[in-house]
Amino acid sequence: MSKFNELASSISSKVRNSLSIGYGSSISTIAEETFLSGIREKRFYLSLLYFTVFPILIFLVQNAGLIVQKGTGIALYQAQIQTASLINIFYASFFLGQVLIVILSADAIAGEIEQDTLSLLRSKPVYDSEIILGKFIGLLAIIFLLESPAFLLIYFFLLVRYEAGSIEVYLGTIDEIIAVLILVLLMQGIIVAMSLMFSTLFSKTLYSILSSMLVLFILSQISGILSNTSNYVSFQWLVNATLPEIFYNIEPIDANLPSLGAFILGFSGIISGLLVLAITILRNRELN
Amino acid sequence: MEVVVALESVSKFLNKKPIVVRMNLSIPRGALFGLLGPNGAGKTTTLNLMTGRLKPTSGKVTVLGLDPWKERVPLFRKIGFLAQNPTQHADKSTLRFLVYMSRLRGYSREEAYRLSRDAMERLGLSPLEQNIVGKLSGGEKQRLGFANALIGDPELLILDEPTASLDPKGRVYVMDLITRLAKEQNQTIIISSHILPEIQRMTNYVAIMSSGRVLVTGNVRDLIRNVYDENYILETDKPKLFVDQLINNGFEVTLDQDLLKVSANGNIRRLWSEVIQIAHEKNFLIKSFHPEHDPLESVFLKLVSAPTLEDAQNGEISQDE
Repeated sequence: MSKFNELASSISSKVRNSLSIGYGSSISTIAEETFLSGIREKRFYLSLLYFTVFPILIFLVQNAGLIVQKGTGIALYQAQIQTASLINIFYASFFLGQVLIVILSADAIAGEIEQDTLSLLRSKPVYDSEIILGKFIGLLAIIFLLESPAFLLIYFFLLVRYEAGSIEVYLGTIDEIIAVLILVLLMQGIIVAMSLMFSTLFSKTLYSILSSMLVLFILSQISGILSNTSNYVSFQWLVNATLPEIFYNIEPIDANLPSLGAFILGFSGIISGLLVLAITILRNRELN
Repeated sequence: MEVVVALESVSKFLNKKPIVVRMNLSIPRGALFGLLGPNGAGKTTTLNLMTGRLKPTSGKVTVLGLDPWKERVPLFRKIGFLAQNPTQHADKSTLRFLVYMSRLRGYSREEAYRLSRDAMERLGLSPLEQNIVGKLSGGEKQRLGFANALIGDPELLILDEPTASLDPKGRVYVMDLITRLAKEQNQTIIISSHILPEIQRMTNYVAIMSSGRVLVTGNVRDLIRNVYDENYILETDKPKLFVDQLINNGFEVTLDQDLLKVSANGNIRRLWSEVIQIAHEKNFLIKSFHPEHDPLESVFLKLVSAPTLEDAQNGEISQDE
């Protein structure tokens, strides 16, 4: 019991100390800095182009498909096959979206180590957890900004169809549309957190990128095997995790699968775990 | 006397190589403390241990009552640190860089701007406010690093080779600034350098290091009180005649460009009394008469050349200690 009391007292003293020295105030500063530096870089504009152009193309293709599908019999079947092939080509291309997220995130800490600027951050009263959380939030904000045109497009597209009582809308309510957008962002948050963890582990950005890509690839294979699909050798899992997935297939909201809330909680848990790992690695890193 | 930095039997190994070996060091509050030693003596590693950038392999480091490795954040609320060859964000303007650094100390945006501009003014960087950091000269970058360390008026300032990469004018400027800070704000300042005259000019306490060990530490005045040089330099109006007289009196003397180098032969009292007496009797004018080396330099040279250097590398000390 006394050991429990000691532990409780130690935790409470640490919390008090953290609060008294203003824990958290640097998170917003680092997030802001990460965001502002990030959006000034060329790779951001390349990514923005990519993330904006592809959803619009898919949007156009899908709507063209709906028009073509007005035929009957073999004509309808052929039209559906053609549309599906075209959409698959675009979805396969969205693997590049994952690569871009990894590239945007992978140098968050490794880049600071390479340029020897991590020592600047650590020569200020800033907790390692503040550094990691600040970087994570800043990077997520960049990705949100990159995807916001597509998000808006999807939101209004689904909203209009929902209001029109369209049977093609799989989402029941506007709340669900927003929840799915959050879900998509969280899925990409996992990729950011993983890249950040590898970025903390390695001192070189290249190693961090390669490790993140390798893990994504392995996960895609596992996902393919578990879902017993024939296309697990493709990047279907990665494709599913990308933004346009919610365009035409919101099957995860199916009643047979865990609820959206459970997905969100699960993804948040994975992100938290990866971030805690990154903080622990950074905490024990010596700067020489 | 209150101790602000205490190292108790601290060792640090990097890649199994001893860099700092069983170091004991106490730095009193208000001291202008110089960490002096040749390149590779372990000065930077010692400062890195004091600032929590490195974890000691063994021993205990306490700075302002805190363990730097475990309590880095509370410690950095009280200290300012200038690293050797400080790096900065190359793509930012100097002002934006300092504002970012200030905000990391917990200041609001407005305060950060005010403090950054103050620090830039103190370091003569105001005209470079909008210049890009990556395009600054080495000296300007060093001054910017200095401004960064000064923000928030830390009670302890740790400066690793603060005059490195500065031009002579910059060196004088920084040395004056350091002494002024110590005098006006009663800050404790720790400076590492391998340049003895600079340490001597700036500091009142010194630790001489070599091969990861502190060879001697203390007040500069106490250290040089009983130090005598072997050779003394004498400048006179009649150098050749003076040389003859000294040789006749049994001294070893060499003449180099009208300057006489007289050996004390271990008897400093005799040297001083007889040289003065000869000058008086023969009516020679003594223009100057001083040790060949500066007293602190003599201490430094004697200590650094002593055979303690290889101890650590010869396996006397293992990492298990």
